[in-house]
Amino acid sequence: MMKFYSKFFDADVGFRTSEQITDAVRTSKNYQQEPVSNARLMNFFKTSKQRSYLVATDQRVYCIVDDNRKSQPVVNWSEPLATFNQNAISFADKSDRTGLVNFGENHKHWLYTKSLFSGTDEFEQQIHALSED
Amino acid sequence: MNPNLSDRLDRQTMENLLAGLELIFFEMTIVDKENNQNPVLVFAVACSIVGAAAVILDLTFYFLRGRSLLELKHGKSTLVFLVAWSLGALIIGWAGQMAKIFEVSVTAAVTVGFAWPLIFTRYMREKALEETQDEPEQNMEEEK
Repeated sequence: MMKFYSKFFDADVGFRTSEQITDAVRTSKNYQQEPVSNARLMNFFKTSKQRSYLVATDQRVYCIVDDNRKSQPVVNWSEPLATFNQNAISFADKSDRTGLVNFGENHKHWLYTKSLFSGTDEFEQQIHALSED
Repeated sequence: MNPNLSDRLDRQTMENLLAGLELIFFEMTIVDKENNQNPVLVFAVACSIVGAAAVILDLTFYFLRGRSLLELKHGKSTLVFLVAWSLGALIIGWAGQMAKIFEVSVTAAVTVGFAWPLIFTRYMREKALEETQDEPEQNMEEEK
């Protein structure tokens, strides 16, 4: 019974687990058959309906959007790790809670949740940690 | 604070409260800053009195008709329901005054006293809805 009630208060209901998100990499058109078991994951956007992640394998970085109204997460774009690391990351303001991030010239105006990071420096640090591990 | 002054203020507040309750319940007058110095306190207490009356009325209805209109399971816990319902009405009445939702009238006090759980859940639901409606949405376009 408690499990049933807890569903109403659990903010994670309807969202996929980190394992399911890293597994979603396999649905990418650019998936290179690389192993995903050791993929690193970074959540950068979080609302009641959507979550967005960067998932780095040994070869590519994938941007995945998980929408709890959709049946499965969507790979929005991906890029080889080597070129992703050369991208200049820039930020812009959108609202009190949300900011905009450009992952280089090809992936612009992505929303990010400010409260997930202490500042843009931490965001950049996490990206570097993700792609350089 | 000087104890005499404190006593005088307490007495003054109590007099204001009783005068306000008389205005609201027996003269059906809207209480405001012009006719009472403590309208928020008057309203909160009026709501809690109506809340207690609501549970007593519900108990009598339960004895007469065998069911509770407020959906309470009467019995040993009725006294707890009475205190809890009354306290809830006091808090919602006070919060409603802070948020300037209600005027200090008998109609508003009766509404809060009888239906504060309904008002509370609806208000919270609307607030949650407002928050989620303003949420920005990420681009869901699939990779090319």
